[in-house]
Amino acid sequence: MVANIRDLRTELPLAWRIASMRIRGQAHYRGSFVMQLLGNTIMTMIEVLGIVIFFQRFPALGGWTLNEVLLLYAMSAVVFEVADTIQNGLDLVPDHIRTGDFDKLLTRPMSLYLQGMLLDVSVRHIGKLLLAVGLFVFAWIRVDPNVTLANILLVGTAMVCGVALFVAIFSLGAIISFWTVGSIEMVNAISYGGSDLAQYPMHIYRSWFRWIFMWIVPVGLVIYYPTLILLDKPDPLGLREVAPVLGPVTTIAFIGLVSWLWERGVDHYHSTGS
Amino acid sequence: MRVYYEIARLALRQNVAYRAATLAGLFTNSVFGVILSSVMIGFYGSLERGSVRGWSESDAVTLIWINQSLIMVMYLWGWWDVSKSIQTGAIATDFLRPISWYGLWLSREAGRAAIALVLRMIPTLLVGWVLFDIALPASPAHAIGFLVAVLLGVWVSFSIRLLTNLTSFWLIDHRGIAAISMSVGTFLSGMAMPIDFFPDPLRRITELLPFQAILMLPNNVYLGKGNPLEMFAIQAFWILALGGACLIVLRQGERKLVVHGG
Repeated sequence: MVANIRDLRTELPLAWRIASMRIRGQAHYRGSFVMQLLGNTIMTMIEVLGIVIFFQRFPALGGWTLNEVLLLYAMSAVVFEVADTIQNGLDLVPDHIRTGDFDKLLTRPMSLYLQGMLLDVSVRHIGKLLLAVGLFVFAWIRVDPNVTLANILLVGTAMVCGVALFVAIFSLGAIISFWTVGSIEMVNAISYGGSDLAQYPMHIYRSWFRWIFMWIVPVGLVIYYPTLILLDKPDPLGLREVAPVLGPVTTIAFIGLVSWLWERGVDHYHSTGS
Repeated sequence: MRVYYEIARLALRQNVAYRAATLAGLFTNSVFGVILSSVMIGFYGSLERGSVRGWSESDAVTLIWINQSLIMVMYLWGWWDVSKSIQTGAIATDFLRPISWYGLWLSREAGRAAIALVLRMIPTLLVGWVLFDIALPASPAHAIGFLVAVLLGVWVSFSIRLLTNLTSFWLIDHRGIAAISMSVGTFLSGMAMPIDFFPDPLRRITELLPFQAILMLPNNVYLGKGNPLEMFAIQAFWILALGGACLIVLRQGERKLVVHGG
Protein backbone atom coordinates (compact mmCIF):
# COMPACT_ATOMS: atom_id res chain seq x y z
CA MET A 1 0.00 0.00 0.00
CA VAL A 2 2.80 2.42 0.94
CA ALA A 3 4.62 1.55 -2.27
CA ASN A 4 1.41 2.15 -4.20
CA ILE A 5 1.02 5.62 -2.78
CA ARG A 6 4.63 6.47 -3.61
CA ASP A 7 4.08 5.25 -7.18
CA LEU A 8 0.98 7.38 -7.43
CA ARG A 9 3.00 10.48 -6.58
CA THR A 10 5.19 10.01 -9.62
CA GLU A 11 2.41 8.69 -11.82
CA LEU A 12 -0.21 11.35 -11.31
CA PRO A 13 1.73 14.19 -13.00
CA LEU A 14 2.40 11.83 -15.90
CA ALA A 15 -1.28 10.89 -16.03
CA TRP A 16 -2.19 14.55 -16.13
CA ARG A 17 0.11 15.10 -19.12
CA ILE A 18 -1.40 12.17 -21.02
CA ALA A 19 -4.90 13.40 -20.25
CA SER A 20 -4.22 16.94 -21.42
CA MET A 21 -2.65 15.58 -24.63
CA ARG A 22 -5.80 13.60 -25.37
CA ILE A 23 -7.99 16.62 -24.69
CA ARG A 24 -5.89 18.84 -26.94
CA GLY A 25 -6.24 16.27 -29.70
CA GLN A 26 -10.03 16.53 -29.54
CA ALA A 27 -9.99 20.31 -29.60
CA HIS A 28 -8.91 20.11 -33.24
CA TYR A 29 -12.29 18.72 -34.26
CA ARG A 30 -14.29 21.67 -33.02
CA GLY A 31 -17.44 21.00 -35.07
CA SER A 32 -17.98 17.46 -33.90
CA PHE A 33 -17.03 18.40 -30.34
CA VAL A 34 -19.72 21.08 -30.23
CA MET A 35 -22.32 18.74 -31.74
CA GLN A 36 -21.56 16.00 -29.21
CA LEU A 37 -21.67 18.48 -26.36
CA LEU A 38 -25.03 19.75 -27.59
CA GLY A 39 -26.39 16.22 -28.00
CA ASN A 40 -25.44 15.17 -24.49
CA THR A 41 -26.77 18.36 -22.97
CA ILE A 42 -30.13 18.04 -24.73
CA MET A 43 -30.42 14.46 -23.47
CA THR A 44 -30.17 15.64 -19.85
CA MET A 45 -32.56 18.53 -20.43
CA ILE A 46 -35.17 16.11 -21.76
CA GLU A 47 -34.80 13.89 -18.69
CA VAL A 48 -35.42 16.88 -16.44
CA LEU A 49 -38.36 17.94 -18.61
CA GLY A 50 -39.80 14.45 -18.10
CA ILE A 51 -39.65 14.82 -14.31
CA VAL A 52 -41.25 18.29 -14.49
CA ILE A 53 -44.11 16.93 -16.65
CA PHE A 54 -44.70 14.07 -14.20
CA PHE A 55 -45.08 16.61 -11.41
CA GLN A 56 -47.65 18.54 -13.45
CA ARG A 57 -49.85 15.42 -13.49
CA PHE A 58 -49.04 14.14 -9.99
CA PRO A 59 -48.60 16.08 -6.72
CA ALA A 60 -45.69 14.06 -5.26
CA LEU A 61 -43.45 11.00 -5.57
CA GLY A 62 -43.30 8.91 -2.42
CA GLY A 63 -44.03 12.05 -0.40
CA TRP A 64 -41.25 14.08 -2.08
CA THR A 65 -41.94 17.32 -3.97
CA LEU A 66 -40.58 18.35 -7.38
CA ASN A 67 -37.73 20.43 -5.94
CA GLU A 68 -36.73 17.65 -3.55
CA VAL A 69 -36.67 15.06 -6.35
CA LEU A 70 -34.71 17.51 -8.53
CA LEU A 71 -32.08 17.84 -5.79
CA LEU A 72 -31.81 14.06 -5.59
CA TYR A 73 -31.66 13.84 -9.41
CA ALA A 74 -28.90 16.46 -9.52
CA MET A 75 -26.87 14.72 -6.79
CA SER A 76 -27.00 11.47 -8.71
CA ALA A 77 -26.29 13.17 -12.07
CA VAL A 78 -23.28 15.16 -10.82
CA VAL A 79 -21.73 12.08 -9.23
CA PHE A 80 -22.41 9.94 -12.29
CA GLU A 81 -21.00 12.43 -14.81
CA VAL A 82 -17.80 13.01 -12.83
CA ALA A 83 -17.33 9.24 -12.47
CA ASP A 84 -18.07 8.63 -16.17
CA THR A 85 -15.50 11.27 -17.18
CA ILE A 86 -12.83 9.74 -14.95
CA GLN A 87 -13.42 6.16 -16.06
CA ASN A 88 -13.97 6.85 -19.79
CA GLY A 89 -10.89 4.93 -20.94
CA LEU A 90 -11.87 1.75 -19.09
CA ASP A 91 -14.63 1.30 -21.70
CA LEU A 92 -11.87 0.55 -24.22
CA VAL A 93 -10.20 -2.15 -22.11
CA PRO A 94 -12.44 -4.97 -23.45
CA ASP A 95 -11.42 -4.09 -27.03
CA HIS A 96 -7.75 -4.01 -26.04
CA ILE A 97 -8.07 -7.42 -24.43
CA ARG A 98 -9.85 -8.90 -27.42
CA THR A 99 -7.26 -7.67 -29.91
CA GLY A 100 -4.24 -8.35 -27.66
CA ASP A 101 -3.31 -4.66 -27.49
CA PHE A 102 -3.49 -4.95 -23.71
CA ASP A 103 0.04 -6.40 -23.89
CA LYS A 104 1.37 -2.95 -24.66
CA LEU A 105 0.01 -1.65 -21.36
CA LEU A 106 1.75 -4.44 -19.46
CA THR A 107 5.14 -3.30 -20.72
CA ARG A 108 4.80 0.29 -19.50
CA PRO A 109 6.02 1.40 -16.06
CA MET A 110 2.70 2.72 -14.84
CA SER A 111 -0.26 1.34 -12.90
CA LEU A 112 -2.39 -0.75 -15.26
CA TYR A 113 -5.60 0.65 -13.86
CA LEU A 114 -4.45 4.22 -14.38
CA GLN A 115 -3.37 3.38 -17.92
CA GLY A 116 -6.79 1.86 -18.56
CA MET A 117 -8.50 5.04 -17.41
CA LEU A 118 -6.25 7.11 -19.68
CA LEU A 119 -6.97 5.11 -22.85
CA ASP A 120 -9.60 7.69 -23.67
CA VAL A 121 -10.07 11.03 -21.98
CA SER A 122 -13.14 12.78 -23.27
CA VAL A 123 -14.53 16.13 -22.31
CA ARG A 124 -17.89 15.52 -23.97
CA HIS A 125 -19.50 15.03 -20.54
CA ILE A 126 -18.71 18.60 -19.56
CA GLY A 127 -22.04 19.94 -20.86
CA LYS A 128 -24.07 17.44 -18.86
CA LEU A 129 -21.91 18.01 -15.81
CA LEU A 130 -22.37 21.78 -15.90
CA LEU A 131 -26.11 21.32 -16.37
CA ALA A 132 -26.26 18.92 -13.42
CA VAL A 133 -24.28 21.32 -11.23
CA GLY A 134 -26.57 24.16 -12.28
CA LEU A 135 -29.61 22.06 -11.45
CA PHE A 136 -28.11 21.17 -8.07
CA VAL A 137 -27.64 24.85 -7.22
CA PHE A 138 -31.15 25.67 -8.47
CA ALA A 139 -32.79 22.87 -6.47
CA TRP A 140 -30.69 23.70 -3.39
CA ILE A 141 -31.90 27.31 -3.44
CA ARG A 142 -35.52 26.19 -3.94
CA VAL A 143 -35.55 23.68 -1.06
CA ASP A 144 -33.38 25.95 1.10
CA PRO A 145 -31.95 23.32 3.50
CA ASN A 146 -30.25 24.09 6.81
CA VAL A 147 -26.66 24.99 6.04
CA THR A 148 -24.80 23.50 8.99
CA LEU A 149 -21.30 22.11 9.14
CA ALA A 150 -22.76 18.62 9.60
CA ASN A 151 -24.88 18.96 6.46
CA ILE A 152 -22.00 20.25 4.35
CA LEU A 153 -19.83 17.36 5.52
CA LEU A 154 -22.68 14.98 4.77
CA VAL A 155 -23.13 16.19 1.18
CA GLY A 156 -19.39 16.42 0.58
CA THR A 157 -18.85 12.85 1.76
CA ALA A 158 -21.78 11.69 -0.34
CA MET A 159 -20.29 13.26 -3.47
CA VAL A 160 -16.84 11.75 -2.91
CA CYS A 161 -18.23 8.30 -2.06
CA GLY A 162 -20.66 8.46 -4.97
CA VAL A 163 -17.94 9.23 -7.52
CA ALA A 164 -15.71 6.48 -6.12
CA LEU A 165 -18.60 4.02 -6.09
CA PHE A 166 -19.60 4.67 -9.70
CA VAL A 167 -15.99 4.50 -10.94
CA ALA A 168 -15.80 1.10 -9.22
CA ILE A 169 -19.08 -0.01 -10.82
CA PHE A 170 -17.87 1.06 -14.27
CA SER A 171 -14.63 -0.90 -13.72
CA LEU A 172 -16.67 -4.09 -13.54
CA GLY A 173 -17.13 -4.01 -17.33
CA ALA A 174 -13.38 -4.01 -17.90
CA ILE A 175 -12.91 -6.68 -15.22
CA ILE A 176 -15.48 -9.08 -16.66
CA SER A 177 -13.80 -8.78 -20.05
CA PHE A 178 -10.68 -10.51 -18.65
CA TRP A 179 -12.83 -13.66 -18.66
CA THR A 180 -15.52 -13.08 -21.29
CA VAL A 181 -16.45 -10.37 -23.76
CA GLY A 182 -20.05 -11.50 -24.22
CA SER A 183 -21.96 -10.03 -21.31
CA ILE A 184 -20.52 -6.58 -20.68
CA GLU A 185 -23.93 -5.04 -21.29
CA MET A 186 -25.00 -6.48 -17.92
CA VAL A 187 -22.73 -3.94 -16.24
CA ASN A 188 -24.58 -1.12 -18.02
CA ALA A 189 -27.73 -2.24 -16.24
CA ILE A 190 -25.95 -1.71 -12.92
CA SER A 191 -24.10 1.52 -13.78
CA TYR A 192 -26.73 3.37 -15.81
CA GLY A 193 -29.51 1.60 -13.93
CA GLY A 194 -27.88 2.41 -10.58
CA SER A 195 -27.60 6.08 -11.50
CA ASP A 196 -31.17 6.23 -12.83
CA LEU A 197 -32.73 4.57 -9.81
CA ALA A 198 -30.76 6.79 -7.43
CA GLN A 199 -32.48 9.80 -9.02
CA TYR A 200 -35.70 8.84 -7.21
CA PRO A 201 -36.38 8.19 -3.49
CA MET A 202 -35.34 4.61 -2.65
CA HIS A 203 -38.48 3.81 -0.65
CA ILE A 204 -40.61 3.70 -3.83
CA TYR A 205 -38.88 0.45 -4.88
CA ARG A 206 -39.88 -3.03 -3.83
CA SER A 207 -37.89 -4.45 -0.94
CA TRP A 208 -35.90 -7.11 -2.88
CA PHE A 209 -34.83 -4.60 -5.52
CA ARG A 210 -34.01 -1.93 -2.95
CA TRP A 211 -32.00 -4.44 -0.92
CA ILE A 212 -29.67 -5.09 -3.90
CA PHE A 213 -29.03 -1.39 -4.43
CA MET A 214 -28.52 -0.65 -0.73
CA TRP A 215 -26.44 -3.57 0.48
CA ILE A 216 -24.69 -5.05 -2.57
CA VAL A 217 -24.27 -1.95 -4.74
CA PRO A 218 -24.75 0.73 -2.05
CA VAL A 219 -26.01 3.64 -4.22
CA GLY A 220 -29.03 4.01 -1.93
CA LEU A 221 -26.90 4.49 1.18
CA VAL A 222 -24.54 6.87 -0.60
CA ILE A 223 -27.00 9.17 -2.45
CA TYR A 224 -30.54 8.73 -1.11
CA TYR A 225 -29.83 8.88 2.62
CA PRO A 226 -27.62 11.98 2.69
CA THR A 227 -30.28 13.81 0.64
CA LEU A 228 -33.06 12.53 2.93
CA ILE A 229 -31.19 13.75 6.02
CA LEU A 230 -30.37 17.09 4.39
CA LEU A 231 -34.03 17.64 3.50
CA ASP A 232 -35.17 16.27 6.85
CA LYS A 233 -37.72 13.98 5.18
CA PRO A 234 -39.55 11.11 6.93
CA ASP A 235 -37.43 7.95 6.99
CA PRO A 236 -39.54 4.91 5.99
CA LEU A 237 -36.54 2.55 6.01
CA GLY A 238 -35.30 3.55 9.48
CA LEU A 239 -31.57 3.85 8.75
CA ARG A 240 -31.23 7.58 9.28
CA GLU A 241 -28.98 7.32 12.34
CA VAL A 242 -26.48 4.88 10.86
CA ALA A 243 -26.54 5.79 7.14
CA PRO A 244 -23.89 8.59 7.31
CA VAL A 245 -21.42 5.96 8.56
CA LEU A 246 -22.73 2.99 6.58
CA GLY A 247 -22.46 4.85 3.24
CA PRO A 248 -18.64 5.34 3.33
CA VAL A 249 -18.09 1.93 4.94
CA THR A 250 -20.04 0.02 2.27
CA THR A 251 -18.39 2.10 -0.45
CA ILE A 252 -14.94 1.20 0.80
CA ALA A 253 -15.94 -2.45 1.03
CA PHE A 254 -17.28 -2.37 -2.55
CA ILE A 255 -14.09 -0.72 -3.85
CA GLY A 256 -12.03 -3.32 -1.99
CA LEU A 257 -13.96 -6.11 -3.66
CA VAL A 258 -13.66 -4.52 -7.10
CA SER A 259 -9.90 -3.93 -6.82
CA TRP A 260 -9.43 -7.52 -5.66
CA LEU A 261 -11.38 -8.67 -8.74
CA TRP A 262 -9.25 -6.40 -10.97
CA GLU A 263 -6.06 -8.03 -9.63
CA ARG A 264 -7.54 -11.51 -10.25
CA GLY A 265 -8.49 -10.40 -13.77
CA VAL A 266 -5.01 -9.14 -14.61
CA ASP A 267 -3.54 -12.40 -13.25
CA HIS A 268 -5.96 -14.31 -15.45
CA TYR A 269 -5.06 -12.35 -18.59
CA HIS A 270 -3.36 -14.37 -21.29
CA SER A 271 -2.38 -12.50 -24.39
CA THR A 272 -4.19 -13.28 -27.62
CA GLY A 273 -1.01 -12.44 -29.53
CA SER A 274 0.23 -14.53 -32.42
CA MET B 1 -39.22 -11.49 -54.28
CA ARG B 2 -37.29 -14.62 -53.41
CA VAL B 3 -34.01 -12.72 -53.08
CA TYR B 4 -35.48 -10.32 -50.48
CA TYR B 5 -36.76 -13.27 -48.48
CA GLU B 6 -33.28 -14.81 -48.48
CA ILE B 7 -31.69 -11.52 -47.37
CA ALA B 8 -34.17 -11.31 -44.47
CA ARG B 9 -33.48 -14.93 -43.50
CA LEU B 10 -29.75 -14.28 -43.47
CA ALA B 11 -30.15 -11.18 -41.29
CA LEU B 12 -32.32 -13.20 -38.93
CA ARG B 13 -29.70 -15.92 -38.58
CA GLN B 14 -26.94 -13.37 -38.00
CA ASN B 15 -28.89 -11.97 -35.08
CA VAL B 16 -29.64 -15.34 -33.47
CA ALA B 17 -25.93 -15.94 -33.01
CA TYR B 18 -25.37 -13.63 -30.03
CA ARG B 19 -26.93 -15.57 -27.18
CA ALA B 20 -25.03 -13.98 -24.29
CA ALA B 21 -25.82 -10.51 -25.63
CA THR B 22 -29.51 -11.42 -25.83
CA LEU B 23 -29.57 -12.49 -22.19
CA ALA B 24 -27.64 -9.41 -21.08
CA GLY B 25 -30.05 -7.21 -23.01
CA LEU B 26 -33.05 -8.88 -21.46
CA PHE B 27 -31.51 -8.28 -18.03
CA THR B 28 -30.93 -4.59 -18.81
CA ASN B 29 -34.48 -4.05 -20.13
CA SER B 30 -35.86 -5.77 -17.03
CA VAL B 31 -33.84 -3.62 -14.62
CA PHE B 32 -35.07 -0.45 -16.33
CA GLY B 33 -38.59 -1.88 -16.44
CA VAL B 34 -38.48 -2.33 -12.65
CA ILE B 35 -37.09 1.19 -12.06
CA LEU B 36 -39.53 2.99 -14.36
CA SER B 37 -42.61 1.09 -13.25
CA SER B 38 -41.71 1.68 -9.58
CA VAL B 39 -41.50 5.40 -10.35
CA MET B 40 -44.86 5.24 -12.14
CA ILE B 41 -46.49 3.40 -9.21
CA GLY B 42 -44.88 5.87 -6.80
CA PHE B 43 -46.46 8.78 -8.67
CA TYR B 44 -49.89 7.10 -8.86
CA GLY B 45 -49.66 6.53 -5.09
CA SER B 46 -49.84 10.31 -4.58
CA LEU B 47 -53.25 10.57 -6.29
CA GLU B 48 -56.67 10.66 -4.67
CA ARG B 49 -58.45 9.32 -7.73
CA GLY B 50 -57.28 6.46 -9.89
CA SER B 51 -56.52 7.76 -13.36
CA VAL B 52 -54.73 10.55 -15.19
CA ARG B 53 -56.08 11.67 -18.54
CA GLY B 54 -57.71 8.29 -19.09
CA TRP B 55 -54.63 6.31 -18.00
CA SER B 56 -55.02 3.97 -15.02
CA GLU B 57 -51.99 2.83 -13.02
CA SER B 58 -52.16 -0.59 -14.66
CA ASP B 59 -52.26 0.97 -18.17
CA ALA B 60 -49.25 3.17 -17.40
CA VAL B 61 -47.17 0.32 -15.94
CA THR B 62 -48.05 -1.85 -18.94
CA LEU B 63 -46.84 0.95 -21.23
CA ILE B 64 -43.48 0.99 -19.43
CA TRP B 65 -42.98 -2.74 -20.05
CA ILE B 66 -44.23 -2.65 -23.65
CA ASN B 67 -41.73 0.14 -24.33
CA GLN B 68 -38.85 -1.77 -22.72
CA SER B 69 -39.81 -4.86 -24.74
CA LEU B 70 -39.83 -2.87 -27.98
CA ILE B 71 -36.45 -1.10 -27.61
CA MET B 72 -34.56 -3.75 -29.54
CA VAL B 73 -37.43 -4.45 -31.93
CA MET B 74 -37.58 -0.79 -32.92
CA TYR B 75 -33.78 -0.57 -32.63
CA LEU B 76 -34.04 2.96 -31.27
CA TRP B 77 -30.35 3.35 -30.46
CA GLY B 78 -27.20 3.16 -32.46
CA TRP B 79 -28.04 1.80 -35.92
CA TRP B 80 -25.44 3.23 -38.28
CA ASP B 81 -25.05 0.49 -40.90
CA VAL B 82 -26.04 2.72 -43.84
CA SER B 83 -23.94 5.58 -42.54
CA LYS B 84 -20.93 3.24 -42.34
CA SER B 85 -21.57 2.04 -45.89
CA ILE B 86 -21.43 5.67 -47.06
CA GLN B 87 -18.21 6.36 -45.14
CA THR B 88 -16.45 3.22 -46.41
CA GLY B 89 -17.82 3.51 -49.93
CA ALA B 90 -19.52 0.11 -49.71
CA ILE B 91 -22.73 1.88 -50.73
CA ALA B 92 -21.39 2.04 -54.31
CA THR B 93 -21.40 -1.77 -54.46
CA ASP B 94 -24.92 -1.82 -53.02
CA PHE B 95 -26.05 0.53 -55.82
CA LEU B 96 -24.62 -1.87 -58.41
CA ARG B 97 -26.70 -4.82 -57.20
CA PRO B 98 -29.57 -5.84 -59.46
CA ILE B 99 -32.09 -5.30 -56.64
CA SER B 100 -33.65 -2.23 -55.09
CA TRP B 101 -31.37 -0.49 -52.58
CA TYR B 102 -34.31 0.34 -50.32
CA GLY B 103 -35.57 -3.23 -50.60
CA LEU B 104 -32.15 -4.58 -49.62
CA TRP B 105 -32.06 -2.63 -46.35
CA LEU B 106 -35.74 -3.16 -45.61
CA SER B 107 -35.30 -6.94 -45.96
CA ARG B 108 -32.34 -6.93 -43.59
CA GLU B 109 -34.42 -4.86 -41.19
CA ALA B 110 -37.33 -7.31 -41.43
CA GLY B 111 -35.11 -10.26 -40.52
CA ARG B 112 -33.54 -8.36 -37.63
CA ALA B 113 -36.88 -7.19 -36.26
CA ALA B 114 -38.48 -10.63 -36.56
CA ILE B 115 -35.88 -12.25 -34.34
CA ALA B 116 -35.95 -9.35 -31.85
CA LEU B 117 -39.70 -9.87 -31.59
CA VAL B 118 -39.22 -13.47 -30.48
CA LEU B 119 -36.05 -13.15 -28.39
CA ARG B 120 -36.54 -9.71 -26.84
CA MET B 121 -40.15 -8.52 -26.94
CA ILE B 122 -41.94 -11.64 -25.72
CA PRO B 123 -39.47 -12.49 -22.88
CA THR B 124 -39.46 -8.88 -21.62
CA LEU B 125 -43.26 -8.78 -21.59
CA LEU B 126 -43.24 -12.06 -19.65
CA VAL B 127 -40.88 -10.59 -17.04
CA GLY B 128 -43.21 -7.58 -16.71
CA TRP B 129 -46.18 -9.90 -16.33
CA VAL B 130 -44.48 -11.98 -13.62
CA LEU B 131 -43.04 -9.04 -11.64
CA PHE B 132 -45.64 -6.31 -12.14
CA ASP B 133 -48.72 -8.16 -13.33
CA ILE B 134 -49.05 -6.04 -16.49
CA ALA B 135 -52.30 -6.10 -18.45
CA LEU B 136 -52.63 -8.74 -21.13
CA PRO B 137 -54.26 -7.90 -24.49
CA ALA B 138 -58.03 -7.88 -23.94
CA SER B 139 -58.69 -10.36 -26.79
CA PRO B 140 -56.82 -12.29 -29.52
CA ALA B 141 -57.92 -9.54 -31.91
CA HIS B 142 -56.14 -6.95 -29.72
CA ALA B 143 -52.99 -9.09 -29.74
CA ILE B 144 -53.04 -9.40 -33.54
CA GLY B 145 -53.73 -5.68 -33.91
CA PHE B 146 -50.75 -5.00 -31.61
CA LEU B 147 -48.48 -7.16 -33.77
CA VAL B 148 -49.59 -5.28 -36.91
CA ALA B 149 -48.95 -1.94 -35.18
CA VAL B 150 -45.51 -3.14 -34.04
CA LEU B 151 -44.54 -4.20 -37.58
CA LEU B 152 -45.71 -0.87 -39.02
CA GLY B 153 -43.86 0.86 -36.16
CA VAL B 154 -40.65 -0.96 -37.10
CA TRP B 155 -41.08 0.33 -40.64
CA VAL B 156 -41.51 3.94 -39.42
CA SER B 157 -38.52 3.60 -37.08
CA PHE B 158 -36.48 2.15 -39.95
CA SER B 159 -37.43 5.09 -42.19
CA ILE B 160 -36.39 7.66 -39.57
CA ARG B 161 -33.09 5.86 -38.96
CA LEU B 162 -32.45 5.59 -42.70
CA LEU B 163 -33.04 9.31 -43.09
CA THR B 164 -30.63 10.24 -40.24
CA ASN B 165 -28.07 7.76 -41.65
CA LEU B 166 -28.24 9.45 -45.04
CA THR B 167 -27.01 12.71 -43.48
CA SER B 168 -23.59 11.05 -43.69
CA PHE B 169 -23.45 12.12 -47.34
CA TRP B 170 -22.91 15.62 -46.03
CA LEU B 171 -21.69 15.24 -42.43
CA ILE B 172 -18.52 13.39 -41.56
CA ASP B 173 -19.26 12.93 -37.87
CA HIS B 174 -22.81 11.82 -37.12
CA ARG B 175 -22.47 11.31 -33.37
CA GLY B 176 -23.93 14.70 -32.43
CA ILE B 177 -26.95 14.31 -34.73
CA ALA B 178 -27.30 10.79 -33.36
CA ALA B 179 -27.45 11.89 -29.73
CA ILE B 180 -29.97 14.64 -30.48
CA SER B 181 -32.31 12.63 -32.70
CA MET B 182 -32.12 9.68 -30.30
CA SER B 183 -33.04 11.58 -27.17
CA VAL B 184 -35.69 13.84 -28.72
CA GLY B 185 -37.23 11.05 -30.77
CA THR B 186 -37.29 8.58 -27.89
CA PHE B 187 -39.01 11.02 -25.56
CA LEU B 188 -41.59 12.10 -28.16
CA SER B 189 -42.36 8.49 -29.02
CA GLY B 190 -43.82 8.02 -25.53
CA MET B 191 -40.94 6.11 -23.95
CA ALA B 192 -41.13 7.51 -20.41
CA MET B 193 -44.84 8.31 -20.23
CA PRO B 194 -47.96 8.33 -22.42
CA ILE B 195 -47.97 11.43 -24.62
CA ASP B 196 -51.41 12.17 -23.15
CA PHE B 197 -49.45 13.28 -20.05
CA PHE B 198 -47.65 16.01 -22.02
CA PRO B 199 -48.81 19.63 -21.63
CA ASP B 200 -51.35 20.33 -24.39
CA PRO B 201 -49.17 22.43 -26.75
CA LEU B 202 -46.40 19.82 -26.64
CA ARG B 203 -48.91 17.00 -27.11
CA ARG B 204 -50.39 18.68 -30.19
CA ILE B 205 -46.94 19.11 -31.75
CA THR B 206 -46.04 15.51 -30.92
CA GLU B 207 -49.16 14.25 -32.67
CA LEU B 208 -47.98 15.94 -35.87
CA LEU B 209 -44.61 14.15 -35.76
CA PRO B 210 -43.75 10.59 -36.80
CA PHE B 211 -42.21 9.44 -33.49
CA GLN B 212 -45.52 8.49 -31.84
CA ALA B 213 -45.95 5.83 -34.56
CA ILE B 214 -43.03 3.88 -33.06
CA LEU B 215 -44.14 3.30 -29.46
CA MET B 216 -47.29 5.25 -28.59
CA LEU B 217 -49.59 3.87 -31.28
CA PRO B 218 -48.70 0.18 -30.69
CA ASN B 219 -49.34 0.84 -26.98
CA ASN B 220 -52.76 2.32 -27.76
CA VAL B 221 -53.70 -0.72 -29.84
CA TYR B 222 -52.49 -3.15 -27.14
CA LEU B 223 -54.47 -1.37 -24.42
CA GLY B 224 -57.57 -0.88 -26.59
CA LYS B 225 -57.39 2.94 -26.60
CA GLY B 226 -58.89 4.49 -29.75
CA ASN B 227 -59.62 2.96 -33.12
CA PRO B 228 -56.82 0.63 -34.32
CA LEU B 229 -57.54 1.35 -38.01
CA GLU B 230 -56.88 5.03 -37.39
CA MET B 231 -53.50 4.14 -35.79
CA PHE B 232 -52.55 1.93 -38.73
CA ALA B 233 -53.47 4.73 -41.15
CA ILE B 234 -51.22 7.23 -39.35
CA GLN B 235 -48.36 4.72 -39.42
CA ALA B 236 -48.91 3.98 -43.13
CA PHE B 237 -48.89 7.70 -43.88
CA TRP B 238 -45.48 8.10 -42.22
CA ILE B 239 -44.05 5.04 -43.97
CA LEU B 240 -44.96 6.57 -47.34
CA ALA B 241 -43.94 10.14 -46.48
CA LEU B 242 -40.60 9.21 -44.90
CA GLY B 243 -39.90 6.61 -47.61
CA GLY B 244 -40.41 9.33 -50.25
CA ALA B 245 -38.14 11.68 -48.32
CA CYS B 246 -35.44 8.97 -48.16
CA LEU B 247 -35.54 8.51 -51.93
CA ILE B 248 -35.24 12.26 -52.58
CA VAL B 249 -32.32 12.59 -50.15
CA LEU B 250 -30.70 9.51 -51.68
CA ARG B 251 -30.90 11.08 -55.19
CA GLN B 252 -29.18 14.22 -53.88
CA GLY B 253 -26.59 12.16 -52.03
CA GLU B 254 -25.80 9.97 -55.03
CA ARG B 255 -24.80 13.06 -56.99
CA LYS B 256 -22.44 14.10 -54.26
CA LEU B 257 -20.94 10.67 -53.64
CA VAL B 258 -17.30 10.18 -54.53
CA VAL B 259 -15.84 6.75 -53.87
CA HIS B 260 -12.09 6.27 -53.96
CA GLY B 261 -11.10 2.93 -55.38
CA GLY B 262 -7.86 1.05 -54.99
